[in-house]
Amino acid sequence: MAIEELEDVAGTIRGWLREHVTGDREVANDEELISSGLLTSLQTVELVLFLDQRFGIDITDDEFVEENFNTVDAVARLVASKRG
Amino acid sequence: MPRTVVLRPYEDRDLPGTLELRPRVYPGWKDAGDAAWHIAVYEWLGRNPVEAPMHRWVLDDGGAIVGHLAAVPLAYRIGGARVIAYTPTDYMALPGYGFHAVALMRTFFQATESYVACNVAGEVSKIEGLFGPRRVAGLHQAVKVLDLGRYPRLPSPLLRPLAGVASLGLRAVDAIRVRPPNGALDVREEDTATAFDPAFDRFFESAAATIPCMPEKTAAFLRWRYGPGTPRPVRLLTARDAGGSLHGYAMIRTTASADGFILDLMGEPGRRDVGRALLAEAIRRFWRDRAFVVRYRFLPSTASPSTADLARFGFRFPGATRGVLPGARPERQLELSIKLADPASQAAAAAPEHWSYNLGDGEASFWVP
Repeated sequence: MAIEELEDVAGTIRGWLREHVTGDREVANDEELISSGLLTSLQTVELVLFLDQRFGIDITDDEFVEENFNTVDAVARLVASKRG
Repeated sequence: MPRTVVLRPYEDRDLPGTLELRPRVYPGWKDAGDAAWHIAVYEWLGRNPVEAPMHRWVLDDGGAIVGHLAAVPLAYRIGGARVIAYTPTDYMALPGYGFHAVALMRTFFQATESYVACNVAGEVSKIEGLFGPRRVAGLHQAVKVLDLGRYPRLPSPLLRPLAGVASLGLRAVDAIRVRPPNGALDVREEDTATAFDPAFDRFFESAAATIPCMPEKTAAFLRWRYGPGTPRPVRLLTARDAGGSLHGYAMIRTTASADGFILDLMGEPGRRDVGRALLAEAIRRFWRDRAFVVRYRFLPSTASPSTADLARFGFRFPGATRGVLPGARPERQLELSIKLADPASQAAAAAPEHWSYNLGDGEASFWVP
């Protein structure tokens, strides 16, 4: 996946976070989402469902780990790796 | 400083941490800080007669316990086969550990082959939903008002005397409704410490022969679930014929706040007279206990009382958005969900009409007052 496309994915995720989590506050690509306690359990579930619906990817149990979700960059890389 | 949260199996040394965690997660639950009671609950869960181990996990943040989940095994009879399925139990995590709370549930689904749960619709069922269980049905809710004068949330205290008078009228009507029938059934209270004999095994087997899906409520299970040591003691009503043969039973409980619960009611399949007789005796007992309301949550089956009988006894069926009592919150919506490893069992258990299921069969009822 090209860098531009990776940034598009990151932008989509940032938009979702702005709308559903931070209340219009912009989230940086490297801001910690989990270790900062930003995401509630329900928001975590909703983010996974959003990724599934928006990008057509199915996140497996093995991929549901902190490293893949702790920043927007990490989530975008996970999405990119699954979309090939 | 970035924190490191470790998800690991529960160890004995985690007891103080989990006892301290509960009141922090559930500040509105008055029993949350009752350490002796929670220790007794886990001792009781450990005596579960099912031949499968309970599992527990914690979230450990630098030595502080910030989350917990247990997996409790229970046996079911599904399509004629014995299935052991696990139920997520005592699930809690502090705010700020949302991802890790979901990771706990993921660990549950990785560690257990089969799952059955009856949850209040809401956050926990949404988290569980991520891991693929199938919703079978919402439990039916029947609510009967007994004594409005004792209802703690009356819109105005001035209404209390009026409500008391109205309740006298209700009681007079009930005295006629619940008069013991002249039939051959003898409904009586029995001691939960001694009553669960092989007749309950025979009763279960005969019910399971016609009802495809139900918890395996053998005598051993009932002794554990409702006998000595159970976290919330109940009263057992039995329906027997003149020869002493068991045709049905009910488990009832009146809480300290005067809520009456029918936790379980099983009549011989197809014998509506048994359900009616047990229901009538339960109502009489709740009047005697001075309960202000009776709540009965169940999936309809040939072992449960019919909707017509419940209506005849004055039960109402609240909707999802309104309560039966004035000013009351809507009744909690409970949903039965399954994820069974065996595809044939999963297919059989996905049909709500295959089930016999009562509130007391589910893990949620282990904790309510």
